[in-house]
This record gives sequence, structure tokens and C-alpha cells, in this order.
Amino acid sequence: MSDSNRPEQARTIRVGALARVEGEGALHLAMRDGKVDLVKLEIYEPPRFFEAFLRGRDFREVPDITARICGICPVAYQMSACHALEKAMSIANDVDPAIRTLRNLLYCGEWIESHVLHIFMLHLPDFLGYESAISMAADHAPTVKRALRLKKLGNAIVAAVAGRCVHPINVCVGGFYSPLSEQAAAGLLPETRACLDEMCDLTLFLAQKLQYPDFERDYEFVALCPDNEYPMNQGRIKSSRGLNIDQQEFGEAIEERHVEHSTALHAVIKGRGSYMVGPLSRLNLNADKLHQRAAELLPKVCKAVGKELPWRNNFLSLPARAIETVHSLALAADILAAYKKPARSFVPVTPRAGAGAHGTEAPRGICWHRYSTGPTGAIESARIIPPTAQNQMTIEEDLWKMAEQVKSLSDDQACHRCEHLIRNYDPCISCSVHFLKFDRRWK
Amino acid sequence: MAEIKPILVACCGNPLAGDDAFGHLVAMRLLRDPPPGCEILDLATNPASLLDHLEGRRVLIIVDAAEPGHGEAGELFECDWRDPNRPAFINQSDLSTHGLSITQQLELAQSLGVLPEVVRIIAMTITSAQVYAKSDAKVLEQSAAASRRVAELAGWLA
Repeated sequence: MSDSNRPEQARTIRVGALARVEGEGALHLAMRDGKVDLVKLEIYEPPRFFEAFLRGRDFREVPDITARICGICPVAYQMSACHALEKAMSIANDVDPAIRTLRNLLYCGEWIESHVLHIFMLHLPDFLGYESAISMAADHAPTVKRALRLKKLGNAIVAAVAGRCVHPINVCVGGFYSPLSEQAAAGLLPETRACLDEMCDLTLFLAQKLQYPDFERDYEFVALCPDNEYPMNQGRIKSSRGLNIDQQEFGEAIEERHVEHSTALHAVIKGRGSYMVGPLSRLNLNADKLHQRAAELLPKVCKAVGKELPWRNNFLSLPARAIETVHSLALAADILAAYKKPARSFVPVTPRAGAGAHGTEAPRGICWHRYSTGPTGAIESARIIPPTAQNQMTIEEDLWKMAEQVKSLSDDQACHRCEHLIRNYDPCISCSVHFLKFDRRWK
Repeated sequence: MAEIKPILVACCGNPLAGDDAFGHLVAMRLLRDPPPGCEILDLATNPASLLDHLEGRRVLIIVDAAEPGHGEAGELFECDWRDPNRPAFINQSDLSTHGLSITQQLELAQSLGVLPEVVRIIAMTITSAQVYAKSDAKVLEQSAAASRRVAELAGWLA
């Protein structure tokens, strides 16, 4: 990295982006007279070829195809696709409660493995001052080992329900090709209960021992808000500023805009502006529906971090993810303990022309799909709005504020603080430690 | 006395990606006729799970394809992971999606004190890892040779 510009001098900073990330991030800052003049966050999002090449495919292929959009949250894409297509096929109301419960169990597995990977391998090193999880592990081996155990369990739950933890193969429109066996469910229960206790302990550790930077903004939080459960698969879409719409209306309620400096679209709520999806939004809007084990922890966590809900500081997304992990483990344990093999694992589907839209709560936020089908069930149109894309504008707005805070820091320090902020959102681009091309110019 | 776990033979590679199927083909051979004292792990769809299998192991053998530019295409080579002169490609960390790469997992295992005492890598230099491409005939040939080498190593290291 070359030296940065200071008010008296002109120089350019570039940080080489690593090739191993799914997307590259480039941040350009322009400072004028000591103030932030320009912030551009360029995210090189892969083109949405999925929406194009789904056209003409049979609707039954969509869950397997969309699972390939993401390697860490394939379940989210499969669930959103299934729910949307079940609406298109007019069988959404026919899906058995037992199948819905299995879907929740599957989502629990995904939240556990995704949240734990992010909390302990990607985000915690920032808070503890380490370059990476590898260097952190040398000093915090017991914590890392406990995290790896949790992640392994999350993967095991996904594999047991959906056949495979990477790009699951047992999910179909209408349910599952084959149901989880009672023996497999019983086999997972002891480890799930043990990991639940571990995660409660780790959650308190994260709340009590970490220093959370002071960084509050007035976000519009958006999440699914079901009546009687913490959101995963179902619920109306609501916000902290009064949005309250049916799933079908979400595509019309938001607008995706092309911006010159990025291939990532910026999503806004029409007539308003940017918004946030993800764990902080879910927790702020649905804390009263947490599982009892997580609900009991929440006051202790709030006391430890010094803030009652709603949290407006996205550095607190880390304890929010931890609480959600506790919730997922507790819910999974309940489901496994009571599990009986369902009478049928899927609802038969007769292809028809139709249209349907649905969003489910991926670990990073609402993942929303809309499909229209022809008379044979072939896909005529597809629209997929991933959570990371919805947060792009909000991330950039955060960086405007952060750029002001870090203007007196060196470029290395400023870059690290910006990366840390971006990791609050757990976007796909943060798979690597240093993904950011950092370019700051002083005028 | 602590249980002695079998030698772990971890085979990496995407069976759908041309010559990258090398590791997977070796796994298939070894699973049909596993060498005594070995546990064969086909990491085809989940390379990021290697770390879950390391604790308590004394010996790890990794089988994988190496990118073009590391030796002659089609040739097998072998090295010790702890060798300071090991080929540069082993240090790459861009090998997995949303998870730890093989290299990162080994480094993490070392930090956690669970890296096996012996970590041996058997690799074949390939020409292409294009998705849906067929594997070169040399890959099939060398997968047989690699399987024999794994059995030989297992006999020495057991």
C-alpha cells in the first residue's frame, strides 16, 4: 500500500484485492479541505445470469439451481424458491405443518453454521485485534475449538435434513424428497443440547469481553415478522418505520437502482431510501418471539453491551448473531426431541401457469424470489433479490460516516476500520481478511 | 490408552470439473479397496470439512490436483506440508467458497495443536479444471498410480 494523500500532498493508496473472494470491494475516498467529499464502494457483484437461465427450466429444477447461487446459504435460496413456486402452483396452503417444521429445522442448521463461521472466524479477529482466525487461534484455541464444534453440528443438521450441507439435494417444491428419519433426529439431539449450552456461554463471553465501537445511525430495519415465531420461513414484511406488506408486494415496494460506480444495485424503499436487512433488523423487530433460552440471555447481553433494544449500532450485529445462534440451537433441540416422521414428506404438485413471490430470512437477511410459470410449469420469469445486494447502499452510507471518523488515521488503520465495518453485514465479499482496495485522495 | 485413529487419506477435487476430478478418482479407487489402517475421505463437495476430521490423527495424506505451472502437466509429485521448500501453490488460500481453504485448515489445525504429526501431499499437475469438461486420460492413469502410492505410504507410516 502506498502512502495516502494528506492536505499538503497528493498521493494515491491502493490495496491489492485478493483473488479468492467471491466479490471484490474497492473503496474510494476523496477528502477536500479535511472533510469527506466522496465515498464510493464498488462491489463487483457477479451478473445475475441465474434470473436469465432459469427461464425455460422446469419449476422443479429451480431449488437445485438456485442453491448454487451461494455456498454458505444454499438453504435460503432453496426455501425462498420453494415457497414462491408453491404459491405459483397454488399449493402453498397445502404444505403440512410437519413439513414446515422440517424446513425450520433445516434453517436452524444453516443459521448455526453460517453465523458461527462469521462470528468466530471472520468477525471476532477484528474485535480481538488479530490478523485472522488462524493467528487468533494460537491464543484462543479453546474458543475456536468450541466454534468449530458448533459449525460442525450446523453442517450435520443440514446434511441430515437435506442430504448434503453444501448445495443440498433433498429439497423439492412441496417439501422434501425423503424425510428425516427418527433415528437420525435422535442421533443429533445430544450434541445439539450440548452445543446449546456452549453457545449460551460463548454469547455471554462475546457480550462481556468485547469492546464495541460507538457507531449509531438511524436505520430503517426490515425483516419478516410472523405472528408467533422468530422469523425464518414465514411472515409479513415489516419495518421499523411502518412498512407492513404481504410477501407478494415486496418487489413493488422497493426499487433497485443501477449506480455508475458499482455493478451491485442499490436497493431503496420507494419514497424513502436505504434500509437494512439481517440479524440486527430481525432482532429489533422480533425479540419478543425468541426461544426462551435466547430470551433469557437477551437482558444479560443488553446489560453487558450497555444498550437496550432497539440496537442502532451495527457493530452489535455480532451479539445479535450470537443470540440468533442460541435461538436456532434451542429450536432445533425442541424439534429433534419431538420429531416424528411425517406421513408424507412432500405435497404433490400439478404444473400450472401462475406467479408467486416469497422471501425467507437468510443468515444475512431477506432473500426474496419471484417466479412466473407457464402451463407446463416452465419458468417464464425470475427475479431474485439477495440480502447482500439490499444492504449495499446502507453499507456505503455507513462508510461515509466512518470515513469522517478515520480521517486522522493512517491508511492501513483506516482501511482496517472500514473492512471491520463492512464485516458487520457479513456480506459474501468478506470471506477473506483483506478484500478491500482502499483508495483515499486528499484535495 | 488413547485410541489410535486410522491414517486419514483426504482426497480433494470436483468430480465435475475436468482434471480437477483427480482427487475424487483416487478416492473412488481407495474406497473400493482401502489400504489397511486407512480411512478414506472424499472431500469432493465439502473441502471445508477437513478440519473436522483431524483431531487425534497421527498421519494425514492429502490427494489433490495442482494448477498448471507447477511441474509438467500429467506428472505426479509429492511433498511434506511442513517442508519449508514445499511448492508455492500449496500456500494458496483461494481454494474454497465461503469456508476455510485446505491450506487455511491445516494452518488453523497447527494453531490449535491438532495438526497430524505427518502431513503428506500427493498431487498431480493438471491442465484444466473446466466445469463439465471430461478428465484427460492421463488423470485416470495417474489416479491409479496415486492410489498405489497411498497404499505404499500407508504401509510405511502405519
